[in-house]
Amino acid sequence: MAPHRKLPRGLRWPWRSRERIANEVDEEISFHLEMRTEALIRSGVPPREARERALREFGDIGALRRSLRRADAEVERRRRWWAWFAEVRQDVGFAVRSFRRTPGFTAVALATLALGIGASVAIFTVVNAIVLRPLPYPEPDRLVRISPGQNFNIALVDAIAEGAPSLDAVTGLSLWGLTLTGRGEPVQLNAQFVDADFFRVFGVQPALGRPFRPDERDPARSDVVLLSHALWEGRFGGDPGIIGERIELDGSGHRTRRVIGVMPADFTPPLAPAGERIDVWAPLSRAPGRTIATDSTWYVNQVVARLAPGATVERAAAEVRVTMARVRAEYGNLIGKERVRTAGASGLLESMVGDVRGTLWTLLAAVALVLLLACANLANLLLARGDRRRQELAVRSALGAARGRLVRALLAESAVLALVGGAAGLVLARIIPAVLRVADASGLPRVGELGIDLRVLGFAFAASLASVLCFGLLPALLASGGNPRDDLAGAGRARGRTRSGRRIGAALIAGEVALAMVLVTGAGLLLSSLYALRSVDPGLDTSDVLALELAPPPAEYGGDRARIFYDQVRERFAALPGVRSVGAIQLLPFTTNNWSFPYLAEGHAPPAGEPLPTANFRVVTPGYFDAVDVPLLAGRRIDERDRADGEAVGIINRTLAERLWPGEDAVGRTIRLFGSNPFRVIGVVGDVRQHSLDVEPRPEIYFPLTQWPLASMVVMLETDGDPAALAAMARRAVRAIDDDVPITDARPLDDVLGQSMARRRFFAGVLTFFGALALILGAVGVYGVTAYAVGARLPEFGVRMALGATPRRVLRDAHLSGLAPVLLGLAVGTAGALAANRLLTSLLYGVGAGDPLTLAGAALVLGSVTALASWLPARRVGRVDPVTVLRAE
Amino acid sequence: MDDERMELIKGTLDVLILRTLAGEPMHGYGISQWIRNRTGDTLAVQDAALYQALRRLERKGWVEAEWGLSENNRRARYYTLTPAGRKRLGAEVRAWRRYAEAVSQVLEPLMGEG
Repeated sequence: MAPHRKLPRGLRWPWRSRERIANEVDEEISFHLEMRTEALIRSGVPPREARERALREFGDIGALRRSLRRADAEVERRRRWWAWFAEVRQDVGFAVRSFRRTPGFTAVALATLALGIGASVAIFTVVNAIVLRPLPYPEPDRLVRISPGQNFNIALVDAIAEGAPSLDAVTGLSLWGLTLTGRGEPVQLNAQFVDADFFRVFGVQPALGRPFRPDERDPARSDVVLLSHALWEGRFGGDPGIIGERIELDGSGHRTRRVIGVMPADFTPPLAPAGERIDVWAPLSRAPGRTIATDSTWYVNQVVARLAPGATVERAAAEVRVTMARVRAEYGNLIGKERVRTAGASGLLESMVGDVRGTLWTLLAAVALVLLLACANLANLLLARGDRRRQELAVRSALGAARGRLVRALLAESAVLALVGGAAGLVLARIIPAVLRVADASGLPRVGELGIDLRVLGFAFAASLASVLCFGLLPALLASGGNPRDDLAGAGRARGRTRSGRRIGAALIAGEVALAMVLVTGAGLLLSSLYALRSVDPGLDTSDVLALELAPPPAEYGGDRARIFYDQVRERFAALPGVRSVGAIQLLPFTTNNWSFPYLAEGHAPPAGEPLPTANFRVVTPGYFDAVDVPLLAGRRIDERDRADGEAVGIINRTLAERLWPGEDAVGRTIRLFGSNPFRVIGVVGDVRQHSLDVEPRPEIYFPLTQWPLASMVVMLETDGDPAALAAMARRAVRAIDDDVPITDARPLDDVLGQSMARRRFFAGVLTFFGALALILGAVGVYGVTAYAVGARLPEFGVRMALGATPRRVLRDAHLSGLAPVLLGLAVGTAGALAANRLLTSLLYGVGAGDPLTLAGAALVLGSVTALASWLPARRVGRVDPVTVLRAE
Repeated sequence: MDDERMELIKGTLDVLILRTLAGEPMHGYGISQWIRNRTGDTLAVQDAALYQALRRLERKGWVEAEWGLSENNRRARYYTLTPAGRKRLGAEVRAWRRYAEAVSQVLEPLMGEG
């Protein structure tokens, strides 16, 4: 009963549709029933009975029909998969073999891709760590930061916690240095001082031991400490027995502290300054019974809270504002109006990364351009390769390969390239951030959390696949689209690229140059900004100055004792060898810290319907202006005559003097601070850029420490030589006076200035790196295309030279034909740069986004590099021997 | 107990189909007729179960289906034994023989007495 005859091939469709499967099942069943019925009739059964019997013998037809359809569809699906899989395996195997045959091409292609993808993934890693990745705490969306950020005292934090029911748990955060002694080398540890609610806010529990208790805020009981896991392992050998022991941890009111636990190893300290670790946690402490007015703990830097379930950031912000306004009403001048106005709450992540988010996305866009450039280069390489292989493809097509199949085979080659290149790129992506020193010197928040996670892997994969489409599709379509007969006929002869192929090559070059132009100008603008910024006069001389931040306990160093202490410090420091002058100020310049207060000068009426203007408030000791070389413009400096019980005095900066009394003498006039405390102006000094070099000086007033006693000051030591070398001696000098005074930091003022530009330098560095990459990729592209075009046109050049053209003339033609798309690219790139560089505006200083000098410079650099890149291969033409070339033809 | 017998029957049906196809490709009706003729209706196989079994064998890769023209010139779905199916049939037949030998060795003394 073998098939009588098989159906002709043409009638069988390779894949069956769902509908077709259903019909075939029905057909098979009805065939069976009819055959059986006929057989029964033949054996003498009456027709109607025969049909019924056949049905009875058969069983449940409906159920069978359903199950057969299901089974057939499954078989069909599986068969398709296998066929597809087998073909892909064939394609990939073929691709790998063909790459092995051309190792030079493969190496260049892989290197280009790895660089492009590596750079993209590296930047994405940074964007991911900083902007995309949620904060590493449970329910991070419920974390908010209370603003304004600085100068909270603990009592005020408490008032906010009570006044804002939307906040479930609130903690102040404050960063101090503590000195660990008695266990090897004394070290300065970074301590985060927090409230007992810290653990509820961040949803963390110590890995060993217990969290702080609310009663440990009492100074008498606050001598407890939690160790970071790293410190516990490194310094205490991971010994659990340390819990309950006292260690010599000096500062902030206690000489020794009892270890009550160890934090988990994977706990990321919140709001740790960029590149710094936190070693220990200790409770914020305040004497019981103090009110907001009498509490002197105004050093709480940050306040973070966890929203109650269902509460919104907006409602919490409103509650904080209302609370601040109430506190201001209750305690008068203690809280400025401005502080009430800026009071509120914002998402913690938003508050950390809001200001860098835009720039990071811009960088990601820039690196996408680099990747696009790499793709253009690869497309060009593949085009050239496709030309050389046209004959091979023609043979395959003549042997029956469908065009779709050929396109897929060529795309498979690209996919193999992209995946291998992508893997290499991932490796590079781990190295690049280290090279760019993202983690230490960028000044970016959250860089401690840099790492490769699933999202980064996904991005790398997506970037690789997108690259395949970018660089693989066009060459594949072109290479497979030729007329096989022509290509077969051309067998054995070196044939030039088709006209359209050449045009596409030129378009790619123009595109590459345009992309490179955008990147190079961007880098140029940032470098010019950095240069312009470096040449800005900060108003004080940072060279050879050591800045020493001292934080004596305010409780012990209030009032006159602060003056006595800093007199002693100045005396001791001045006696150190190599110290020229010494003075102190309460806030380190070039940082975000600022105090500013409203003022009203004599002869001026308060502005109608507006708040009083404000001026920066600085407290200094005698010697400060000398130590940092701020020039005195009129009157005198602060000195020993300005006593606590003497006339209230102050020094104003040039900006304030010119604003208040333009063209007149400011010395001798009076100004009221907060509108009520009057003081006499005894001098005018030059402007200082307190915040950073790119911020214009604000009106500023300096007061003597004697009349505005403060415990924490930054002491500036002007030295003869290397200020860093003096740090150890200066520390010893402070300890000799009182070894309970924490030295929170000691570093050259130059470094502080440099750090204030870290972020800018980082962005400039990254973009310069991309610009250089773009330049190299562009040059390689131009070189490749020109070399290829010259090679293909050699016969033509040979003929022309045989007809009498000079080698020089032919060389010039070859060179110029390569340069035309470069010029077009420069023009398009300039337009693109003008549009794209507006994204950089917030990072620019001293140059406009369309700075003609930068544009011209970039065009010049790019033009000369590409001219060189096209001249090198064009040289071949001049050395050509017409006879050899023509004979080869 | 019932379940085991069902299982045995199901397995038996599979082997029977493989055996049927050992000679030449056949359509479902042909297989059903072949079994009916050879066993003289002692093995009453429901046709629905037969087609289920064919799909099962197809999924295991022991038979392949293809449309062809029947002896009376109608389109019919023909089933062919694949090399894997042929191997399977061999294995099943050997297993049956061993089983039959074992059973007869146990039963032979009784038969001698009888």
